[in-house]
Formats: sequence, C-alpha cells, structure tokens
Amino acid sequence: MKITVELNGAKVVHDVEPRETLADFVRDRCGLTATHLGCEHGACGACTVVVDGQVTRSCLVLAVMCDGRSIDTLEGLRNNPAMEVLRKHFHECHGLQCGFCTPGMLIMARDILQRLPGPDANTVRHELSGQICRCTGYTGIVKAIVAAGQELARDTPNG
Amino acid sequence: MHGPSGKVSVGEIAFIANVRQDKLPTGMEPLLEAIGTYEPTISGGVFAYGTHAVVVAVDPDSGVVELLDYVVAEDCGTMINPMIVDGQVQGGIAQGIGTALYEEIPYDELGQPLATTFGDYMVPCAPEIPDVRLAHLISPATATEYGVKGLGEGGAIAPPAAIANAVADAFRSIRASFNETPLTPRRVSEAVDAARHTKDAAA
Amino acid sequence: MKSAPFDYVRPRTVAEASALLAQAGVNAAAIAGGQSLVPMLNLRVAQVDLLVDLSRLDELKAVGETSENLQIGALTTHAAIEDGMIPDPFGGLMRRVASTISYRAVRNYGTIGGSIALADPAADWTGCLIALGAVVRIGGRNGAREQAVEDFVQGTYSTSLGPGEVILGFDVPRSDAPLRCGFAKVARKSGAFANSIAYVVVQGRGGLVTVVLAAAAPRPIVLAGAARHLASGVDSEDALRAAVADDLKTYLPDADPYETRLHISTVVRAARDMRTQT
Repeated sequence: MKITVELNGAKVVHDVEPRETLADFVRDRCGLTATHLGCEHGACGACTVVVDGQVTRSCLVLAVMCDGRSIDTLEGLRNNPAMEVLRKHFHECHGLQCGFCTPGMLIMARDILQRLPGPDANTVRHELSGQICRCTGYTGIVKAIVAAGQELARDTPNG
Repeated sequence: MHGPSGKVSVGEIAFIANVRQDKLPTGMEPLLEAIGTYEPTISGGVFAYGTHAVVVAVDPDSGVVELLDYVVAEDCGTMINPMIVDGQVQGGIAQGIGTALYEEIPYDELGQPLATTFGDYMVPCAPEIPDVRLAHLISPATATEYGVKGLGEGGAIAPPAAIANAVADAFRSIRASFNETPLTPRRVSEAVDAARHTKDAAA
Repeated sequence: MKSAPFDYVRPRTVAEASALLAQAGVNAAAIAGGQSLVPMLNLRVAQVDLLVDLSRLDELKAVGETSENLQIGALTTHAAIEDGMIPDPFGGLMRRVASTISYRAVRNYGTIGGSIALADPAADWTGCLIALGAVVRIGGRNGAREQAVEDFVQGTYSTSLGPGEVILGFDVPRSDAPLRCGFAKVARKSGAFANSIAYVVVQGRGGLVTVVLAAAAPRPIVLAGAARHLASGVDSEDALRAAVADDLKTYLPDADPYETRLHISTVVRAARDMRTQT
C-alpha cells in the first residue's frame, strides 16, 4: 500500500506492507535509527515518536494508519528549542548512561513539558511511567527534565 | 610540546593525527590512542562498601509496598568522576528495587515460562523508584592505582535485604517473616496473614 | 515480534465498515487505536486476514450532552478524557480513571470503544461504565441497537457484538442528585494491568449506590451487598468489609484468601475515596 506522510517536515511517499509498524517504517524504510526498538509491544517506550503533535509508541501503530499524518522523530527535533534545552540538561544531570532509552525519554520529556510546564519531580516521575531505563535509576533523567522545565518556564513566563 | 628544534601545540598534533595523516612521520600509525593495563598488587579484587536504609509503607491486605525514603552511604574509595559514581549507584539501586519488589521469571508446572514479555516481567519505571539520597565516604584502597575500588554492585545487591527487613520491621509485633523475593503484593499479604494466624493460634 | 501478513482497508462510513467486517469466510477485525490489537498481532496471539480501520470515521467521534445523558463517541481517546476534552459530570471519575490507564503515549491512541469491544477482564472502562449505568450504542447491517454495558460485556474478550456490528458510542445517564464517585486500583506497577479495581458511585445523600469490582473475574461484578451497606448510611468500615466478603462468597466463590483480602481492601479504599469527594 502506498502511504504519504510528512516525516520531519518533508513529504515522504513509500509502499508499505499493512503489517508494518511505524517503528519499522521510520527505521528500515527511512533509515532514521534514532527511534529505538526495545520491546515491540508497547511496554518500554524506547520507540516513542510524535504523530500529529502527540507522543506515540511507534511499535504500536501501523504505518498504513499514519497515511496523511505528520511524524516527528528525534532526528527531526534536532533544532527544536525545547529539545536543545533538554539535551543540555540531560548532559549536565547525567540523564543517560548507555543511552538506549534516551531517544524515547527525550521525546516524552518534551511532551511532559508541553502539557505540564515547569513540573516538579513527582509529576515528572509519574508522567515517565512506561519509559523503561535499565541503568540510570531515573534520577538524572528526572532532574534533567525538572531543570529543563524551570529554564523553559523562565524563558517564557507566560507559557 | 616543546622540543630541542621548536614547539607544536597539542591541537596541531590532534589535527594531524586525525585529519592530515599525510603529515605524520613515516611509519607512525594515525589516530591518538593509547592502551595500558596494570595489575594491582593485590589482584583478588577490591570492593566498595555500602549501607542502605529504607522507610516503607505496607498495606497488609493488598500487600502493596511503597518506598517512602531511601538512603545509601557508599565507599568506593577515590571517586574519579563523582557524577558517574552517583549514576552507577542510583542505577544499581533501581535494579535492586526491581529484584526486591518486581522482577521474577516464574514457570508453570510444565516448565512454561510465565514472564516472557514486559507485560509480565515487571521492570520498575520512574514512579516505582524513589529519589534516593546518597552519601559518600572516601577510604582510598591501598592496593590499587589512585585508591579506586569497584562500584555499582553495591547499589544492586543490598536493596532486597534492606527492603525485606524494613517490611519485616513493620510487622515485628506479629513476627511475620518475608523470605522470598520479589516481595510481590501476594507474598507480603500471605506472610502477614500466616503470622496473624500463628499468633491467634498461640493466643 | 512481527505480525503475520494481513490486508488493510479504511472504510469511509460505518455502513461500509459493517459490510467489510461481516464478509463470510474472512477473519476480519476492527481496529481503532490499536494499542491492544497491534501488540496482540505482533505477539501472534491474534491473527487476522483483514484489518478494518475505524479510526477516521467521524460518525464514531461525536460527543454531546443533554439533560439526561452524556454521549461519548466510541473513538474518544483515554487522553481526551484525561485532559477534560469531554464533559465529566460524574465528579471527575472518568478523568481520574483515564489518567491511570497504561501510559500517556498509549492513552493518546486507545479509545473507550475499543476498550469495551475488547472486553479485557483487567480493563478500566468496563467496570467504570457499568458503575455509571452506561448504555452502549451499536451499529450494524440491520440498523442500530442499544444495550446496557453490564449486559454487553459477557466474559473474557467476549461481548454481544455480532458479525458486522460496530460500537458507535455510549450514553452515560446523568443524575439529578450530585454524584459522589470513588475509585481504587491495585496493579503490580504503574500502568500495568490491574489485579483489582473498585468503583463506588453514590447518587446524592441516601440515594442509589452502585459498587463494581473489576479485574477480579472474566467480567466486572456488581456488589449488591456492599451497595446496600453503603446505602444504609451506617458508617462502619468493618461492616463494609463483612458485606464485601459476603458478596465475594456469592459472586466470586473460587477466590483464594489473598484475592479476597485484596478485593475487600480495594472496595474499602474506593468507599473512602468516595467520601473525600464533595
């Protein structure tokens, strides 16, 4: 089946199999491997991308169902202002060790800060439910998101 | 770098080694890489020391355990990169909490594994892990270069003991014992129930 | 972890979807958010010949409110309910329930209609909608029909949905008296499938009380004794525990002692939660 999507701002047309997940589409068809596949059944969050502005587990959505939609992967958010602030704080707060979960964590972090600006640590912990990290113990990730949220809230006091 | 015939900056050396390899002296390998190994005078291993303390809340009926506070004091000798030390300890504790409360691969009586996906095998996420407070003592090892010791295992190994002891302490008046990890809600509730029955029978 | 091959079609109307789903000799399945079905296909615990994508049918998206009820389109997502995008004249119960379902990225896709159609025993909406007395609207080749959610959900992954039938939406009755709703849930970890969920809905002071226990049996159980106790106005948790224990003997005779303690504690916590709602 032929699908047309806006992938990281560019129009992309591809033939896909109906059973192909969005994760396999962006990784294998489009070569965008920042999207990581951890579990392929929606439990780990490593494959989180943005579809029409909403965080999405790309392993739980079929590519054919995204026909006509707009998709952002981590590659497409390289110059996103919130993402730049988040990357800086992930670096400074030791928000990653092996880095496997980091793409999903960053995309989820940006979504949290969009929905709940300036969150406290408890809110961040609750909202990170379903994003598995096996090596940081989450401490650095939570600190980084809280710090990024404070910086972004300072820079845009009216939201 | 100063030498008898002039000087060259480290930046220039790096540039030539990585980018303008044609300028390297004949026979010199490109890239800047050095590998060195050494064996400490005592090679049986040096270990970090750690003490874990935890405050828990337990619902005896549902058996759900909540971690209210968690403190670790750790001694890994000289800390080369304190941020990585903290990261290793924090990550170890999260794995240890998984062992203590969540992670298990049970089998049925026919040997079928019952936890084959993350839908069944519970890996703790951020809401399950408290903000752990860390303290460091620095007693440099005498047998190693720089006084370093091992690190990370201390975070992962102690949580089952610390948490099970805290849960046991919550029920010390009825002497409930918690001897199997993970301390699933069912195991906790059943241990409390068994102790209550023993106490009633003795009364 | 890859699904077996299947065909895919995106109908433009409910009538077209019904016809596609009812084709003889074709193992067709409807997909809405796909947050349960896609992993089931990937893990190959489900296999289909044809996937009928309902996710763009505007007929299934309508949300409305009358003096009598709240109408929720089948495609309404958990996240939309969590974010208050639809009215919640039930004391915020639906928002709170939505916010505990799985994870945010899943809630962005998972729909209330899909949840009820799948009828997973550990689902959140089946028990909640039964507690609120909701009715499901169903469309099919022979026109539309309505049924109480309590009767629609028949067991594990089992509903009264016939060949070619599609859930259109739900009518949740509004109460004249202010509702006080309580809710409690126990799961192995945040977002995991629940082991016990209890809902308590009280209409006004001294009004009708409904107590529903979910994730305990193939389908949610309405606890009549616990409801009678709460309606009696006697403020005793021990008496409530005894009433729930009696209910469980009737409705859940195979429950082991731990399950009994667990479900009693969930109902007691839901009742406490209800009392804290103004």
